[in-house]
Amino acid sequence: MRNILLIVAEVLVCYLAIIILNKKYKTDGLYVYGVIATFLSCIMSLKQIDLMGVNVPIGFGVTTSLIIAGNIITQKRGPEEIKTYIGLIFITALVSCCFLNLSGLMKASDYNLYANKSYDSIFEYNLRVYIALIIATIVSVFLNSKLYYELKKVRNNVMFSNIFSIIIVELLDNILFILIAYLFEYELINIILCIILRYMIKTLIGIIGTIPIYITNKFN
Amino acid sequence: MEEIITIILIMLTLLTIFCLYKILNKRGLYFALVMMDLISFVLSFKISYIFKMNINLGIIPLIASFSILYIFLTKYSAKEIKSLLLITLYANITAALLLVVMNFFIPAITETISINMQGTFEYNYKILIVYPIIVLLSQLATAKLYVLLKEIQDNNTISIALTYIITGLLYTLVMYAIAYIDIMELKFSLFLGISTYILGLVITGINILFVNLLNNKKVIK
Repeated sequence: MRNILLIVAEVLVCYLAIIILNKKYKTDGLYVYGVIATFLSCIMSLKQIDLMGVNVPIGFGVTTSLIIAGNIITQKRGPEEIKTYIGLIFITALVSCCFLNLSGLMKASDYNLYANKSYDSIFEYNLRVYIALIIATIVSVFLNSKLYYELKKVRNNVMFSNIFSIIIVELLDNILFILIAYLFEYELINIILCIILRYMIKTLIGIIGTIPIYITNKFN
Repeated sequence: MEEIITIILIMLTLLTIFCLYKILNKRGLYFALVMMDLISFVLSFKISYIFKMNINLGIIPLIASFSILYIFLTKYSAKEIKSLLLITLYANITAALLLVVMNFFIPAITETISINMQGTFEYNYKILIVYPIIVLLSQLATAKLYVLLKEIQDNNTISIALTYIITGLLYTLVMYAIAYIDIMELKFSLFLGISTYILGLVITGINILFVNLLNNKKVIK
């Protein structure tokens, strides 16, 4: 129950940040949100929680809100603008991974040794998760934007475009992320269950993401 | 090894600022500042032993964020600095909130990273609270002092050096006195602050070359 409440809190923080940044800084605010969410997802994806006996990496809200912010950009500026957003996500992820991994390799000081050793243990040998995260995020943001735009052309309805694009792209996102990050590390049944559970949670969060898209659209 | 990584990290901050500025001009500086602030936030949880001194690693991207301010103030209007600093405040608060939320998740039994995350972020919760405010204040002080010094004399190098000597010292005294209360003795946290400040002076020296190089290029509004 506590984990579910925390997922709700995470989603609230993410969507509120999107709305506030969009209100204050327009599209640039969404790019800034992209930087924040990408950086945090690099840290959050390393932690796992137990869902129905299966280890599932967290960062549900942060990674899904990246796609939602991409949808808002597509809604406002069209699919061409998404290239800058993806470029920014890529640069942020790359720079963050370099900094976090390299700082984890540096010798810990005797001052505050407990915290230093803990820090090193977090950021050592997680390259596979980082690569999975970067690939899954970039592919899903790009495809979601394309799909969202095509659906918008068919029927100009925020809810319709967002829900259908999220349902399709989240499946691909989760398969890519889990397979790249955890294939051969866990049993196949656990991997399949992890994909299904993560897909269900992230799709639900993505569907709720219609609200910030609707609010930012109405505000414009 | 640590020294080489430090140099790589310094170069990486400069490369990131340069690339973002080249690709996105003014907006690139906004994004680079947010990125450097967030990286500095997380790196400030680690103390390393470099050049036989105890150094808080957050100083490397923090100095880079100051450099972004100098470039911005030289090339664009000082009036926009408030909006630039506010965006970093929003970013830092969002990051702090999400790191707190992340810490409270009940972890899976078989994984060990959660314990280490608690050891890093929960154990140093004071950094989580004070960092966004102190960094905002120090960046505001940096911007104001830099503009003031530029008005008094037009030498960019002297302005940047003097700005860091003053605001860096203030940042060190406030940040290290508050962030490590109850974790280490005050004299050790001040030693740590001073050694970090000294490395900050060296990094500022490197960054001055970079800022002067960028400032000599054509302005794209």
